[in-house]
Parts: sequence; C-alpha cells; structure tokens
Amino acid sequence: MARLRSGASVSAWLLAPASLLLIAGIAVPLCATIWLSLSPNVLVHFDGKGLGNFQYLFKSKYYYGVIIRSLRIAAEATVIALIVAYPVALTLRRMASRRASAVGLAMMLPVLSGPLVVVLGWMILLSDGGPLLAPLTPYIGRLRIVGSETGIIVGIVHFILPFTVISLASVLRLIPENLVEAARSLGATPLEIFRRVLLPLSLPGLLSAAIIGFSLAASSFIAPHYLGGPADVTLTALVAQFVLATFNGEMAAAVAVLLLVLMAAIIFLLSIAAARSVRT
Amino acid sequence: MAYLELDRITKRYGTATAVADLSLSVVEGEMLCLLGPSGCGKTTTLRAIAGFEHVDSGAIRLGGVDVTDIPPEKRDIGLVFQNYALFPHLSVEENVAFGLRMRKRPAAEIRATVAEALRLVQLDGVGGRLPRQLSGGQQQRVALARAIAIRPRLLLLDEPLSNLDAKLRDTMRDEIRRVQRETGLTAIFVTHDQSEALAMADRMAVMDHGRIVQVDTPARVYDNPAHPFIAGFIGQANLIEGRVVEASGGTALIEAGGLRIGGHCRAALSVGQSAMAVIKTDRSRLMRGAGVADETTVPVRVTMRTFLGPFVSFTCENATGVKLSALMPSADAQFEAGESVLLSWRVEDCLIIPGVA
Amino acid sequence: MKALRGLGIGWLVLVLIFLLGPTLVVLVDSINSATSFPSPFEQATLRWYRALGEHEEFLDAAINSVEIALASSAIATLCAFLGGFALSRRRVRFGHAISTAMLSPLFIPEIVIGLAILQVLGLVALPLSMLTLIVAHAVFVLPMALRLTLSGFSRFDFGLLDAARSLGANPARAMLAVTLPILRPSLIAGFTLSAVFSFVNLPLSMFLTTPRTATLPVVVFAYMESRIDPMIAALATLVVLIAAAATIGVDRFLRIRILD
Ligand SMILES: Nc1ncnc2c1ncn2[C@@H]1O[C@H](COP(=O)(O)OP(=O)(O)O)[C@@H](O)[C@H]1O
Ligand SMILES: [Mg+2]
Repeated sequence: MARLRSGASVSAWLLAPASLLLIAGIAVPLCATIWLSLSPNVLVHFDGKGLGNFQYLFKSKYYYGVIIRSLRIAAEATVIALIVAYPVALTLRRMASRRASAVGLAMMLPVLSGPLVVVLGWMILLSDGGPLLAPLTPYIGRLRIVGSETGIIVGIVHFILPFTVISLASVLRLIPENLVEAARSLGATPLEIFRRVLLPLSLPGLLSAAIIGFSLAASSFIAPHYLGGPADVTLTALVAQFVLATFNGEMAAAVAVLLLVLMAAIIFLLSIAAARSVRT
Repeated sequence: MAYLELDRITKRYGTATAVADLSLSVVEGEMLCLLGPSGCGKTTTLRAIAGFEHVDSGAIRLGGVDVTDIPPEKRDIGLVFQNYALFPHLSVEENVAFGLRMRKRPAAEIRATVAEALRLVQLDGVGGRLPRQLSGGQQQRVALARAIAIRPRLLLLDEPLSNLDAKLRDTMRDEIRRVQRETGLTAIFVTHDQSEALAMADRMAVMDHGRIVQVDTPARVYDNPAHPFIAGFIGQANLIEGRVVEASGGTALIEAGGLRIGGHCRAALSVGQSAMAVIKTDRSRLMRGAGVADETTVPVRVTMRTFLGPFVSFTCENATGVKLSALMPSADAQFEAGESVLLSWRVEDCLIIPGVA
Repeated sequence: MKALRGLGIGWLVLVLIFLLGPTLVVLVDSINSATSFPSPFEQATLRWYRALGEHEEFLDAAINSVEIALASSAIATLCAFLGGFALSRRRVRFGHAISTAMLSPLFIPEIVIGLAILQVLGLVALPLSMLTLIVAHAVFVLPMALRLTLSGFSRFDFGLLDAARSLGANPARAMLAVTLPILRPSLIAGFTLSAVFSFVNLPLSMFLTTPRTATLPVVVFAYMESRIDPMIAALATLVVLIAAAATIGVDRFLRIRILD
C-alpha cells in the first residue's frame, strides 16, 4: 500500500533542477575563479596560494584608481537614478494597475532591446556632431560625452532607471490611498504627506531599489566599455582586458573576486539599513 | 455497523495536538454535523478523513476497509471546500466533469452525469460559464455538484456556508440538506455555527480541543448538554457554578454564590463535588412582586436591555454579583434598565451537570 | 494637488523620452539613405535591411542566438516552475535562502559568470560548446523566470490541488490539469522575457563563444570594432521590434502586470 509521501521530500525533488543548475552554472565555476584568484601568475609572483594578487591590485596606483572609479561611478549613477525614479514612482502609484504596468514595461523596452541598440543610440545622440549636441555647440563649446566618465554615467543611469522605478513603484503602490486621505483630512499639505507618510513608508523600498540599482551599476560592462574613454577603465572592463588582451586568467579572477566582495559588502550594508527601516 | 469509523486518531503539528485520540462513528446515509469553536480541529479531522493529513496514530475505516494509508485520489470521498476551490480555468461543466474525466468515464456518460448533477443543484443553463461569472451561491452549488458527480462514498463539507451572506446561507443550508437526502449520501458537515448544526444534523458531534465531547441528536444535545463546554457553546444559557449540597435520584441541589438552585440531573452527582446549573435564557423570565411555587427566583437588578425585534434580552446582576440573562418575547418585556425585579425559571428547566474539575 | 499631478506626469514623459530616445534615433537612422554614419537624415530607404539579409555571418550568428535563447529559457522556466511551486506551496526549510540563491545571478555581474564558467572548464579541460553557452544563459535568466513564476504562484490557490485530488487526480495529473494551465500566462511571460534577455546579451557570451558558436551580439560588436554603418542600425531596429513584440505580448495577451 502506497504510503503518503512526505511533503519535505517532494519539495526537495522539485527544487533539484534549479539547485543543479545553480551549482553547475554558478557555485562550482565561482569556486574555480576564487581558486585561480589566489594563484601566482606572470604579473605577480608568490609561492603556493595567497592574497598576493589582491595586494598587488591595491598597491598599484593605477588599479587602485580603477577600484575607486568603479565604486564612485556606481554610487553616482545609483543616486541619480533614485532621484529621477522617485517622482516617477509617485506618479505610477496613483495609476490603475493596467496603465502603470504598461508604462513599466515600456520603460523596460531599452533593457530588453539590449546593448547594441543602446550603445548605438547614445553614440548617435551624444556624438560631437550629433542631433543633441550640435545645436548647443555655439553656447557650450565642443563637449565630449561619449568617451568620458559622463558618458558612462549616462549609459548606466539609462540602464538601471527602469529597475529602480519598478522596484520603487511596486512598494509605493502597496501604501493604501486612505492613509494619504487620512493625512489630508488631518490637515497635512502635499509636502508634509510626502515627508511624514509616503517617504517613511517607502524607505524599505528605497533601500531595496538602491541595492538593485547599485549591483546592476557595479556589474555594468557595456556602458564603461563602449561609452567610456581609454582612461575610464572600471573593474568589469578590467576583467575583460585581462582575459582578452593580456590573457592573464589569475588576475582576471582576482579582479572578479574583488568586485564580488566589494558588491557583497555594500549590498550587505544596504540590507542592514533596509531591515532596520522596516518598523513592525 | 458504522459506515465510517475514526478509531482513536491523533494528529500533531510539532508540539501542538490538533486532533487528540478522537473516535467517531458515522452511520450510512446520515448527515453528521461536526460542531466546535474555531481552531478545535474540525478541518484537521476532515482532512484526515479525506486523506490530506496523515494521522500520527489511530485508524480510519470506510465501509469496513482500513483507508488510513490510501492517498486521497483513491478514497472516493467528495469534498466541498470553504472557499469552493473551483478551477478558475474550467467552465462549470468542466469543473463538474473533472472527477469523471480522472476516472476515464466514456464521454456520453460524463455528459449525462454532469447534466444530472447540475439539475440536482438547480444550475441547468449556466454550464458554459466560468466560475468567476457566477454569484457566491451559484459557485457553492457548482462545488456541491462537482463533489457529488463522482458518486462519492462519503461527502465532506467544511464550513461551506461561511462565505455567504445571511439570507443565502439559510437557502443553501436547506439546499444542501435536500441534495443529501435525495442522493442518500453519507455526509459530514463541519461548522462552528450552532444554529446551522442544529438545523441540519441527523446527529451532531460537538468538538473541543481536538476531542469529541458529545454525540447525539440535536434536540438531545440542546436539552441535555453533557459537558459545561457544550452548555456554554450551544444555545444561550445562564451557567452558574457551584457545589452539590444534595443529590438523590434524578434531582440535585447546588449552592452557588449564596444561591441554592435545584434542578434535574442525568449523571450521578455526589455531595460536595463541583457542578454547574444550566438554564436556557429563553426559559428564564423577569417579573415583579412575589415568586411562584415550583420556580426558582432570584432578586436581581436589570443592568442592560437589548431590543432584538421579536425578543428583548435582559442582562441582570444579583446582590452577590452573579450575572444572569433572560430572553423574553417583546410583548411581555416591560422592564427597564436599573429596575429591581425577580428573575425566575421553572425547576424542571434547570439542568445540573458535573463541573469542569 | 492638481498642479503637482501635472508636474508628475510631465516628469514621467521626460523620463520616457530619455529612456526611449536612443531607441528612436536608431529606428530613424536605419532608414536613412546617407551612407556615412551617423549623419543627418536624407531620404527614407530599406536598402540597409536588404544588405542585412545578404550578410551570412550575422545570419549564422542569429541562428545560434535563437537556439541558445530557446534552450536556456526552456531550462530556466522549467526550473523556475518546479522550484517556484515548491517554494510557494508550503514553508520549506531554508526556503528564504533557497529563493535568494535562485535570484542571486541578478546580483552577479554577467562578465563574472562568463569568466567563472570559462575558468572551471579550463581547470577540468573541457572544450567550449553550445551547452556551455546554454547553461550560462539559463543561470542568467533564471531570476527573471523565477520572479514571474513566483508572482503567478502568489495568486494561486493551492487548495485547488486538494480539490483535484479529492476528485481522483494523482499529484502528477493534478499538476498537469490544474497548476500548469492556471500558471500558463506567467510561464509564457517568463519564457518570452528570458528568451529576449538571452538573445541580446553580450557580456555573458563574450568569453564563451567559439567562431562556430558565436552569438549575434558577439559578432555584431566584433564588427563594430572596425566600423559602424547603417546596416548595424537596421539590425538594431529588428532587435527592438522583437523586444517590443515580446513586451506588448506580455502586456496585452498574457495580461501580466509587472506592478502589483
Ligand atoms: N498545517 C498546520 N500547521 C500547524 N498547525 C496547524 C496546521 N493546521 C492546523 N493547525 C492547528 O491545529 C489546530 C486545529 O486547526 P483546524 O483543524 O484548522 O481547526 P478548525 O477547523 O476547527 O478551526 C489549530 O490550533 C491550528 O492552529
Ligand atoms: Mg476550519
């Protein structure tokens, strides 16, 4: 007689394919990369396994500059995206579900269209003689955006903005409208409603949008590689350089691990802040 | 011979015991109501019978066969869920046909059975609609038709009326009863609403804390609650706790808060043991002036008067702080809050039952 | 209040222009007859699209990309469906940790995933193949498929499975007859968006392609290292059309609401 199967073992079987995929596709490969990042190579010599590659990255003025630039660019882009996204999310909050979702999907279109369209589009728009800058040249002079840090930031903001808008809007839409009505009936002005009701209630959402925005910004490779100049190398671009130009797998691994550790640390800090901001 | 037999079943969730050593027999063709407060283990019991919960100990027998280890899809037990659980992607007809499809019945037979089931619940004509296009009462009927279409060996209904508004609830209550009678199905109906149970049951089983405390016909449970819990749970009653001072034959006298209350009793009581006097509020009345022979009379002050339409409910308190209520027809209820009156009942309307401990 | 709402809508429109602007100029340049790129609009023409059709290298790469996109999305959607079912049905031990792990590829740079897979294959001396690319892309799109599946399951009444079983369906049949049809819109949406994400991705594939398995973005960006011409804009426009079709399909036909 068939005994009723226990729910726990069924769950384990159902989770097996996803687990297998994650183990084979991420966990094991990352172990290989960590292993290589601890190994000596043509650039850095030491015996056995050690942190020599990381010491080298931090000691070199050039690579240290790359680390700082990467973090600065990611942070700047995140802050700009949040500031731009918040009013958009406030507007989406008041829209009907259909409408708001359609707008959200429209915003995702450039992300879904991929790097080719975006890189090409920005190259056309931001090039010196392009339709956006050419009319302005008499007033502001020739402006180099493609091939500069500004170009990178424009590209990254463009990429992460849809994600920050959607994550902010989905949190803001959970705030019941009658809370706002209650505040109004008690005499609060729009500014006070924002400051005392909406902002505090959306703080966890703001922090989770920051987490998503920052990790996408720090992960971004297309914008730095195609919209930045030769002097604007970031950690992701550096990984590509070590693999494709100098064929140094160990250093590529070290840069990749360093990037992951830095991202994890910052995401961790933001998560703690997010957890604290939730009042129960 | 019992048709369905629960033999000392126990179900624990971690350290909490949802069903404790519960035994129950259901006779073929009857409608048994499982009545108890929320959280007492009714749903768990029902799900164990249906096969969704594996009991930690005990056995479940259906038609003399042990089904304890048989999975739900092989038990042939029809289930009506509290939220109906209609398949949203299937039409009414397809919902009702679902069980027959799973049994691989021929198409012609499926069509005939579905039509018959829908006719039985008076839903002919809406077969092509989706569940979300139906009213709550109609959805309830589809759920019932779906469960009976497989000609189940047992029909289980878990608080099927709780999502309906008051008026529809009475209609559906009668409908379910009619369908059960017409089909001759053995049914267990779970509810926390005593009036539902009193109205529907051939027999009712009262549950508390995972146990069954009394099984009997509605009339006998109502008139002779076997346990203080039931006395408090079924009907509106004045419950007065005290100690037995006299007991002989079928009558007893208890002392409680300075009152001496006499009444009849079914269980054997001994002097000094704790006991409880149970007087239905609709058998209690207020009056002015002197008491009447054969009645127990308590001087009280009316603390609250609540108009209920055909009745008025009075909440009263005596000098020692015992709270008593009376439910009187509106025509006889000329008493005001604050007034000092007598609250009385006939001695034969007072039942003395053993106390809790 | 009214004025504020007007400001809000105005800002929303500006943001949409910023987001969609680059796409629009690409559309315009793809039908510009001027041969140098970029240059002011001269005359409308479809010649760049015709040129595209004759470019075999792009065509082969597009076929690779489609194969990889379909295979990796199918794998990811299946994993997300089964895993999402288990995670939503009941409290699973370490359930939160498991779903975080399944969403983690979202937080790992694609270029790092690509590098890590390249390096593990190097260590065990296995060659790069289509399978490598498919696994990499499946991992990368898993979070997308999972999120849509989980949001589908959050509206799914698991009591329906009890109902199906009480009517005689065993667990597998209940899954096929009840869970699958009800979740279908979420699964199709997850599959579609995953496939598009995979199709356009560059950083993930950059280290993992061979000349035989090169994906369309890899080939196009290699081409762009030497020259940028209107043919690229035509190709980009086709990609936009694919993405737009997917987006509109998800919104209109599947009625998936990415908010709420
Ligand atoms: N899946 C479960 N896990 C843990 N406790 C449960 C579960 N299901 C029910 N319980 C507990 O078992 C007791 C009985 O529940 P239930 O059978 O649903 O009661 P009823 O249907 O009478 O309201 C309750 O205390 C409830 O909290
Ligand atoms: Mg219940």
